[in-house]
Order: sequence, then structure tokens, then C-alpha cells
Amino acid sequence: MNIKGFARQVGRNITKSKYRLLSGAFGLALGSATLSFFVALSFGIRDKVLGRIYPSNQIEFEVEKVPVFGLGIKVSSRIDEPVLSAIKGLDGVSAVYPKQASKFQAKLWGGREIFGYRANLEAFFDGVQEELVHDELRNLEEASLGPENLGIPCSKDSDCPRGGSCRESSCHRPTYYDKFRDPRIVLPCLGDSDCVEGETCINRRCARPCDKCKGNEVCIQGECLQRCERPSDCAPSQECKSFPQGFACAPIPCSISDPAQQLYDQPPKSLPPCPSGTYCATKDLLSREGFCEAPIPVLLSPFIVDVYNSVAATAYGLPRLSGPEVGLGLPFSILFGESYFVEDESAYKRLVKRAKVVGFSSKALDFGVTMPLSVVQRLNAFYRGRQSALEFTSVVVETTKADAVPAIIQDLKVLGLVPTAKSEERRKAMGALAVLTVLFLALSLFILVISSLNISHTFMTLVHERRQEIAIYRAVGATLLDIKALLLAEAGIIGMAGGGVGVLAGFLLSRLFVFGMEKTLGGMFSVNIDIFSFSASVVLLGILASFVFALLGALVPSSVAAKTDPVKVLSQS
Amino acid sequence: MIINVKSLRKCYLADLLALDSVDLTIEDGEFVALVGPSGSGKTTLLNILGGLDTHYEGSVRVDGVELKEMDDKALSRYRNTRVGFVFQSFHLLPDSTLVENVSLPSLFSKARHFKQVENDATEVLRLVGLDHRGKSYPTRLSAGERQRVAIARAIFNKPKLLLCDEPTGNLDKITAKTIMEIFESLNNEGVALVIATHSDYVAERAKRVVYLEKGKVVREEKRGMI
Repeated sequence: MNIKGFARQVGRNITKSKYRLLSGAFGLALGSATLSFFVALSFGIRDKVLGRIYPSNQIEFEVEKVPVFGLGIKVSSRIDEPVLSAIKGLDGVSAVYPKQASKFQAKLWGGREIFGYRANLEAFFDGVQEELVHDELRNLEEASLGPENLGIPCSKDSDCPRGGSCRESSCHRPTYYDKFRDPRIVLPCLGDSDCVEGETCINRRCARPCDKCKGNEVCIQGECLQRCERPSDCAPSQECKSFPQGFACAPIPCSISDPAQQLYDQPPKSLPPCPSGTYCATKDLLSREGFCEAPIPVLLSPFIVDVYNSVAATAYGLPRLSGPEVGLGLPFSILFGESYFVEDESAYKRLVKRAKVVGFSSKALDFGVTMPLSVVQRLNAFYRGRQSALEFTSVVVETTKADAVPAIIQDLKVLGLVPTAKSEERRKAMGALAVLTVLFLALSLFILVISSLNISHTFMTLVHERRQEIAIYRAVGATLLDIKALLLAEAGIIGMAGGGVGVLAGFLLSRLFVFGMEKTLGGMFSVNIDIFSFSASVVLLGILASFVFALLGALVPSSVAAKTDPVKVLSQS
Repeated sequence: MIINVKSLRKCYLADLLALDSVDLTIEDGEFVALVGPSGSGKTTLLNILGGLDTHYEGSVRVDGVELKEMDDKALSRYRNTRVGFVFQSFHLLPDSTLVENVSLPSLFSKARHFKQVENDATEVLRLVGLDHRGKSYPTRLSAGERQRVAIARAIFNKPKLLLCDEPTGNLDKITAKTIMEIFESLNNEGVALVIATHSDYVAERAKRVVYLEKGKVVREEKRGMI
């Protein structure tokens, strides 16, 4: 067969029957639009909504609680290092991420930069490992602030806009996600039991004793300090100081004139002044002396911004926040040991620390702040003793495959652990989504089957109309296969065109849907409410489905066409 | 190309005998007229010789190869390259230009460049005197012109045998004369012609005339002996 000539003939045939084929293509486009719309919606809900809370291969477990007179009472099991090791050893588990909630009271204040006034709240907080949220923070930050590399050539930092830095001859915007790590705050102590495992009370500060020193550390006055050669080797809150044992990064002592100033919005001035980005954190609320420290990096839940926009902003006539990104870098203060609800700790156990928002995560507390796990563990040890830092509130288990989750749930049930309500809700939502997806797919397939029947009818009519033409083709040398191929090629092109138009229509419909949602619910949600995921695979699926159903529809007519008896047809006409 | 027909028999229905014990040989470059009344089996014989109809009894061998034993691919290639059909009703595609109609066999033969196909089609149209109408559509042509286009299509792939079913049946005498001149010129170039006709004028020009009656060959005459 002459492929080029054949293609031209197919094109001519389509042009000739364009109006008749249009109805067939319309049906396919409708089916393809429905399919791509619903599949993109299902993928979007799975990836952008449910996947945000936990990816399908992550599930959070907590100790099972039994209801006693309306209260949930923990059964005897607990989540500690031996349990974590046991979970790590289970088949299908690739990683475990323990979480620990605060076990003492705290207050926080701040927000004047955004709200225009000082907000005072009870502070609830918990701690998560940096690895659990690292990718999510980076992805959300890139979605809000754009790519890290700004693509602007530079030779030094001052060539870059808005505080950007020059790396590898290209400007990079300031990043936050990589700031979520333990800043090693200074915690006071009276005895070793105020410090976490691995630390002892040295000079009334929790510090790592010399028997725990690593290769790059040196023992200075009973504690391990990191060796240094220049100031940049140390954290911003430390100085590279000379000791008889050599140079080491040491905390910078500081003092403030009035301890009460710690309760102000801004950190009090210190003597000597602390390095840029740090403040003078005193030993306790009544003390003037302390050390320079970097603020504690914290994460907030995007849900907080949603609640603020939909409730607080409306009630108090405050400006709505356009998105979580406006909160990045927001500083605030925390007074550990005081509460609006319960009795305060003794004065020496009340500490004021500064914190800074470095990201938004669905894994953060819905009403509270989330800190690096080791910070929360050290604080819990200080307030509730060393043992309290060893018990975790929950654990996120990551499986090698999503379908390994049911088996893991069964295994952990034996250990007295059950999925958290949030995780269980997500699992149920995923199940409901799967059912809905099947229903949507069934509806789309139904439309495509009807379109396929329509194509079949259209092509049957065309074959009848073109029977003389087909007979002539046979007389001049067309094989049975050539005749089939001619018809199927026409159907294939109609299918692909219908599929392409359908996917485009589905996409436009989804934009209309999102536009409508933004108009109706605009401002209520801090996160992007585009719940569609029009990936390349969805586009391909839409076009491919339309193509396949068009071919299926043309299968019988093409066989009928191939069976055309040229002798009979040519003798009749 | 030599075609040997032996004891050919064709029934359309159980009791409708179209051909009965036909023996016939067509040599290279022959000009044979099939003459007989309507229903005598002329068209059926042409269809079988052209490989359009392989449901027959007896034997039809083309250069020793039995037609009814060929598969669809071989039979299609035979129709595409070795024989050309000219029908009484022309059977042109009304929505295609003359060049497209004439080059139709090229769709089903070996790949040729589009320009080459167009040039070849124009060249063949020149042989029938219609090269200046290549972009026209068949509906704009007279009956004689349409038949010339049908001849051009039949000879596009340079076949060795032309099978013509009443080619002048729908034409006036003057046009029929033109068509016959074309056939004679093709025959002079070595193309074998088998023409089914009622026309004495056509039969007179054939080198051999085969008379059919009720599906049987009743008489054969060489040219000049009618």
C-alpha cells in the first residue's frame, strides 16, 4: 500500500463525510471530556487534598484508647524506642517517624506584622522529624513562591533582588523549608533528669557530656563543643572561641536590662548585642542573664489560615490572608510554663523563647505549632522529666507500597496501635474516592460505549453509501485489509480528534468549575482550591479512550465494507 | 501473459447457469471480442478473467497459476498490476479529480512519490487526450470523456490485459470510434484486449470474435471471417 497516497485518501474521505462524522466525533468528545474531567478530579483530590495529609503509603498510628464512661482511656501499650524498632522490623515498612506532643503548658503572642495588633493565644505544640516534612515543605514553598533558582545571573549576593543569594552564578530566593531544624536552644536544668537521654546538667545547662563527643568535637569544661577554625563554622548564635584545648563553637553569653521586657512584642536589647538573626534568651522569666539563640523554627497547618480567613477575619473585620506564604518568616514569642487554662509552673521554669514560622504542613497541628522533634523532646524532659521525652504520642509509618498498608495496620494492632482519626478518615476518604472514581469512570465509559455505537451506525451508513467506491477500490487492487484499514484509519482520526477536543473541553470545564468555586468560596481557603490534576497521563487517557472506542465502533462496519462483493455492486450500478 | 480457460462453469443460483464448459485461450497482445445476447455470460466471463469472481468450477490459469487458488493479497495484486477494467458505466469517483481517479490504483501498489504519481496520471490522461482536464471532476465531463478517463485508470499501472465490459454501450457512434481508436492503439503496443460487446462496429475491429450463447462458446472467428 502507498502510505502517503493512502493517508491523502483517508483525509479526502473524512472531508467528504465531515458533517456525518461530526456527530460521531461529538459523542466521543463528550465521553472523553467526561472521562478526563472526572479522572483529573479524582487524581486531584487524591494528590492535592488527601495526599497532602498523608501520601497513600504513609499512615499515622497512636496508642489504642478504650472508651470508659465516655472518656478515651489509653490501654497499657506505649510508643517508645523498642516499639519503633519493632515497627521498623515489619515487612513492608520503609521508615518510621515518631511524633511527640507537648506535655506542659505554654502561651504565645505576636502577629502584629500581619494583623496589625498583638494576638495572645494558648500554645499547643508538638514535634516532628525534619525528614517527615522536608519534601512537603519544599513543594508547597515552590508552589507559593516559585522555583528556588530565580534564573538571574549574578556574581555576588547584592546582584540579587529581595534578599536573594548568589549561588553557582545564579540568584536564589531566600528559602524557609531548610530552616526547619533543631537550633539547639539553651535549656536550664537543676539535675540530669531535666535533660534528655544523651545530655547531662552541666553548669545548670543541659549539654552533651564529654564521653558523648564526636570526631569534630572537643571537650570544653565538661561538655562537647564543635571544633571551628573560623566564625562561619559555627551557628549564627555561637562564636568561634579560643580555649586551651583549641578553637570551638561556644554559646555567646548575653544579658538584658529588665527581665519583664521579655514579655514585649520585640526581644529586648542585649549586652553585648547578639549576632544578626538571634536574640538574648535568658535562663528563665526572672533572669537577666542568658545566651544568644536563633528563634525556634515552627510549622503551621494551612488549616489555621483557613479558619482565620473564614472565622476570625470575618468576625473582627481583619484583612484576609491571600495564602500561607504571607506567614513565612513571621516571628512570635512563646512563654513556656504559663497557661490561660491551668496553673503556671514555678518562676524558674518559665522560659521565654522566640519562634519563627518557616513553613506550612498538613502534618502540623491543626490548632497549634509544630517544632523539630528534638526541641519538643528536650522541652518535655525539662518540664516533665527525662522519661517523658522517651514516650511518643504517635508514629507515622511509611510503607514500601500503598497496598502494604492493610497488613501493617493488622500487625500494629497486635502492638496496641491503631490509625489516628485523621489517618483513618483519610483512608476512608480514599476508599470513598475509589468508589466515586469507579462510578465516574463507569459513567464516562457508558458515554463512550454509546458514542462507539453511534460511530458504528455512522460508519455503517457510510459503508452503504460508499459501497460503489469500495467496489471500485477492490477492482483496482485493494485487498480486504486495505479496505478495513481505510475505514479504521478514518475512525482512528475521528477518535483522536474527538478525544483531543474532549480533553480540551474537560480542561476548560474544570477551569470553569475552579473559577466558580473561587467566586463562591474565595478567601475561605488559604490553599489553592484547584482540585484537578490534568497531568499528561490524563490527557493521554482521554485521547486514547476516544481513539479505542472509535476503532471499536468502526470494527464491524470495516468488516462489512471488506466483504463488499465488487461484482454484485458494480453490476447493479 | 497467457490465460487458459478450461471447462469453466459458473452457477449464480442452483438453476441459473451463467457459464457452461467454456474453453478459451487468450494469448499475449490479442484483441478478443466477446459477442452474444444479454445473459449469455460475457460479463461473468470478464469478472472471472479479471479475478473479481473466483467462485467458479473448472480452471482459469494465468501463466499457469490458477486464479481461484490465489489468496486475497495475490489476487488483489493481479487486479492491480496485470489487468485493467473498463466498465460500461465508467465507475469513476465523482468527488475526485481526473488525476485522482486515474491514479487510484497507485493507492494499492508500491509507494511512489506524490509528484511522480501525478505526472504518471497526467501522462496517461495525455494518451486519451484529456491531460488538460486533470483537475476537473468527472461530473463536468461528457460520457465519452468519462470513458476515456476510465480507460486511463485501467492502464495506469501498465497492465498486460484490458477487460472491457460494453465500453461503447453508452456512447454515440463518433465517440465510440474515438474509444476504439484508443483501444487499437493500446493493442498495437502489446496490451491484450478482451471486450464484451453487442456492437458490430467493435466486433469488426477485434482480431478474434468469441460468440457466447446461454453460457456456452458457440463459435469463434478470426478477424475478417465474420
